[in-house]
Parts: sequence; C-alpha cells; structure tokens
Amino acid sequence: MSTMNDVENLRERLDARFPTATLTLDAPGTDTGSWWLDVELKGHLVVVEWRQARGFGVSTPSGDDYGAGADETYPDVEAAFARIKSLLLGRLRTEAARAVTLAAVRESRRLSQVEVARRMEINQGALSRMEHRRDMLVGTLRSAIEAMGGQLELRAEFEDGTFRITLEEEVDAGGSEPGDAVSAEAR
Amino acid sequence: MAATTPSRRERLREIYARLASAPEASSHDEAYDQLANIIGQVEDELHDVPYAPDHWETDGLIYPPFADNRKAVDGHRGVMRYRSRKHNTFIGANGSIEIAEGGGGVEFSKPGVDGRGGWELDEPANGG
Repeated sequence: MSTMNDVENLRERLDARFPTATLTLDAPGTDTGSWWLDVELKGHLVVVEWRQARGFGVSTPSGDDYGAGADETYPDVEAAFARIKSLLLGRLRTEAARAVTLAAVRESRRLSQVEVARRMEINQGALSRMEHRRDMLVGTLRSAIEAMGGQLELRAEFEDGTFRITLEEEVDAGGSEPGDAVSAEAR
Repeated sequence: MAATTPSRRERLREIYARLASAPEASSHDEAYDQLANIIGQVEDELHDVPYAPDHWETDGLIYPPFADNRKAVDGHRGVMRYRSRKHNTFIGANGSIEIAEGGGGVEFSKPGVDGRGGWELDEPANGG
C-alpha cells in the first residue's frame, strides 16, 4: 500500500472540504523538485508549493509573478490547510512579508539618519542607537515609521485568522473576530 | 544598482528584452544558462536585494527556474518544463525558450538557433 505524502494528504483534505474546487497536483520530475498543487474555487486561485525538507509555500499568484518565491510558508499540513481554507472562503490574497531592519526601511525610503532624526525631534546618535536595538517601545517604533512617511500596523497571526492590534483605548474588546482591530491591553 | 528600484514589471520587461536580443542558444543547457544569467544581470543592476535562492519565501527578487524543478513534457521529448508558482518555462533541446502562464498565455518566446520553437521539435532529444 502506498503512503501519501504531505501534499497529497493536503489535496485530499481540501477535496473533502471543497468538493466543487478544482485541484491539480503537479508532481516533480526529480527527487528534490517541488510538488505543486493548484486549488481553484470560483475563479480564486491558490498555489501551493511543497518540498519535504521545507514544508508548504502558499501564494495567490498575480500578474508579474515570474521568478517569485512563495508569499507565505507553513511547516505542516494542518497550518497550510487552515490558511488555504481561509484564503478560499474569504477570497483573500496572500501577503509577502519581508523581514527587514529599521535601518533597511529607512534606506529604502532614501532617507538619511539625520533627516529622520530631525523629523522625530531627536538627535542622529539616538536614531543610530535605536536602529541597532533588539527591542523598543511600540510607540517609539511607530514614531520612527511615521517619520519615514509610513504607518505602523501590528497584527497577531493565528491559524484561523488575523487580528489587527491597536493600542488605542476606544476599541471595544468584546466579541472580536479575526480581522477586527482589538486592543492589545484588553486581550 | 539604480537610484530607485524599478517595479517587478519593468524588470521583467528588461529581462525579456535582453533575452530577445541575445543570440539564439543552440542547446538546452545554453538556453538555461542564458536565461539564468540575464535574470541575474538585470536583478544585480536594478534591485538591491541579495541573491538568496535557498530562502524560498519571496524576497522581491526575480529568480531563474530552479534546476531541480525540471520535468519532461509528455509528447515532446525535446522540451523540458520548469514549473514556478504561476508560470512554466519551457526550454527546448534546440535552445528555444518559452515562458507561459499556467493558464497558457505566453509571456515570452524565442526560437533556438535552428529557428524553431520547442513545440516544433519532433526528434527525441537528450534535454541538454
């Protein structure tokens, strides 16, 4: 009896959960190549890449995707299934996240430390130290991001959904659902 | 690196333009190397993210097809297919290159040195 691998297991679970979806499994031609699972439900496509050594990559492809890696990665069938279910039901798009340092964000905005420090009303040395810290107050981080022209958003990711966290007190913490903004203190 | 990073679409356009103007390749391996080299050149010139193919989450860079995603094409023994998340890259034993979306729309196509596309090959090939 043959044993299903993780992506075949995922396909079976998705097929049972979404019987009207079109699922296409593309097996690799080499021992180390990727398995690809295309899941389409009512015109909404989710592409899954799987390798034994890496786990699952999940993406909702768009126009200029050539040569792009996976938007999101998940270690096991359970986590991948939960995310794909959420993407299909909500017709959501995956989000590619880049882990970057505060200094890299500043440099990507073509801003000098002097300019950002001036906007934050601190001296350049303080900003330099801030960029090398491993931890800082959320309010300080928010000030720095806003001084670069951006907006800081905090999100808490769970297998079954995402909360956007705000530190403002006017948010009602009761009965929150994934996708709601909730108070960090209240939770 | 450019003063401002061009969009992915602009960089892809540049890659396809350089591929089109490069000499036709004469074998699978030559075509594969040409594609990989041109992608690398354009990304080195126009993007500031370091090349890190082992980091499989997208980092904004355009990566060439991965060699171990190579797969034979039923009925076309002279063509190898490389799957990526939305595309298939078909490379012919005659050096032809075709990049197509999963739905079939062709984004880029270039014949091999013999003037033929990969789908016109009727002789068995070793794929490079």
